[in-house]
Amino acid sequence: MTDQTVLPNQTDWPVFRPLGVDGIVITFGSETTAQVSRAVLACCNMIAGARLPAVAEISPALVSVLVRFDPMGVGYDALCAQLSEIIDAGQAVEAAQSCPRHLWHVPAAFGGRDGPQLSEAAALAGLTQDQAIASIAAQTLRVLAIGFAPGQPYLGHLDRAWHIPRQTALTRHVPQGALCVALSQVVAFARPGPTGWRQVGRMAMPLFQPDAAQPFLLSPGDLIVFEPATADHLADLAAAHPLGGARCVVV
Amino acid sequence: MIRSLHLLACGVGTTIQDQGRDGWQSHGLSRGGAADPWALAQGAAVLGQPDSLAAIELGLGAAVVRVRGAMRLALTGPMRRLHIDGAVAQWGAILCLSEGARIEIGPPQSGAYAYLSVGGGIDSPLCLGGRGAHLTAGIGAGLQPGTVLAVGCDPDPHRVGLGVADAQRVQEAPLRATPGLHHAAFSPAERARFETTTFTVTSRASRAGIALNPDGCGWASQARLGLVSDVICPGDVQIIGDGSPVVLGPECQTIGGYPRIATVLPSDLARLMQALPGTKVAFCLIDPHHAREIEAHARHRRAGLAAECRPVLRNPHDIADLGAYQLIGGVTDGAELDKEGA
Repeated sequence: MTDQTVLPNQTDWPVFRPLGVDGIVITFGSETTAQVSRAVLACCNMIAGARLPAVAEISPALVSVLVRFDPMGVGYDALCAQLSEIIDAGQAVEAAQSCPRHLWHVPAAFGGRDGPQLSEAAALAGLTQDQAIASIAAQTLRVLAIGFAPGQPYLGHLDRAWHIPRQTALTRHVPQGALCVALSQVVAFARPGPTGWRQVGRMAMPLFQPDAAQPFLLSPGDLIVFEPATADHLADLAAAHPLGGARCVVV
Repeated sequence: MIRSLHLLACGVGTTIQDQGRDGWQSHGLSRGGAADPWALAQGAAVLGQPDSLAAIELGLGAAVVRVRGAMRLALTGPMRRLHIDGAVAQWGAILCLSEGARIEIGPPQSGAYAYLSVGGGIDSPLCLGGRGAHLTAGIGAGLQPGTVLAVGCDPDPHRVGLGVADAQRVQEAPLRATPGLHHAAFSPAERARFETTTFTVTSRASRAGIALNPDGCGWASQARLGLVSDVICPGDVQIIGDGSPVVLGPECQTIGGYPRIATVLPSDLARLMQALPGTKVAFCLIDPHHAREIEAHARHRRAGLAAECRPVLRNPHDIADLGAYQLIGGVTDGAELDKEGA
């Protein structure tokens, strides 16, 4: 397995590439589709299930899986070959069992101060503001990956209409809990920060509480349904409910 | 008496750090940890303790610390002015301090981060398996004057009179890096230019990353638009919107959408993190297999640091108040003359 290039016309997935001295990035596609997302999560389960001693960490991203390994314990090529076999065997027997998932119902306010770019984003998606909110709330979204900041989910997929580009300029500041859209995905911001995505709403669910018994509430593969709420109701939930009104059921 | 360190003064960017938190990448939390793990490991090595213990990472400005209770300390990393109760003390050596001693550490001279390690480590609360601040994740915070830090139980209080073998390292060599995740998305000419360019470290530098200023124009890639966000690791050299590179540090994000042209080796990333604004740097791309060999060698050397420590010798004329020197237990003996800065 040599270093390869991921280019848009790449057809022979998955592709293995080194990341630094102790990482292997296994890429399953060039775009975040539902199929690629399933392959990414299944791959994580298969590699975790194999319990290879040299594997230190397995982490899903949107189209890829990062496997961090002990470079003193195993060679890169040997481990790639091993991982390739595990993935092939797993796919052959469709080993990606449907393990129990958490389904989160998360109140969120859309538009207004909580979603200053709702109208702009809706227009790009060819929807009215009400249609846009209904469209987001109608989808059961999956946590495709957690990343950028601790506990921060990339959620997908919205309707194809939401395949809108990122902004060319950055929004300097979105608040914690901001729900921002682009590329048929929603990112819920764990921390305040700048972004190139458009903020259409906000939730009060905390995503990272370093000192809590359960610092991270969401995991890759979890499901989320947003429940539209008024700005006032969301403010009440933020003040009164430890999870900002979010409720979890196991499905 | 509970032994502690009282911070009387410290600069911006002073934090508690250890070797970071491993295993949280899938939750979006980068490893964090010391900006210069090598310098932190030197402090642990000279004190004869595991390098998993936490120390104070000194950032900008000068620092003044008072010790409560007798303890051993060592300062490592790029050298700064160092005084104990007004007398010059030796950098990189075990310092045996008695109750009430006052440590004054000057501002950075040749590198951004220095480490104040103490026998037993800083005994701050564990969070997600680490004691270090991870500022971009919102774990912990920068230390402020007035902070009191508890000190753990010293595992080897009688290990004295030693210093690190080579306190400073070569700064001028190019930063070794492997081809980045998106290296192939840059044209051969752009890749070649990356390796022949001299960059200047800017003041936009933090534990999350360091922005570099190329001496010419920026880098264009075919992947810039429509690149799907992908995994990021410390050391990644990402080309941001204006075409200039940012080298990601220990507190970087875990997923990002800018193309990565190269990934700096861990041992050389520490060297870059130490670089002060205005420092000139260059990159040299190497094969990942070779990079792993270099990393293996670096890890081997790090594991052997404690054995490399050397006795420190000191001119008695430099010692202002010879009679005041005491061992931890209050006994004075001839070994005092070999002991640094006590």
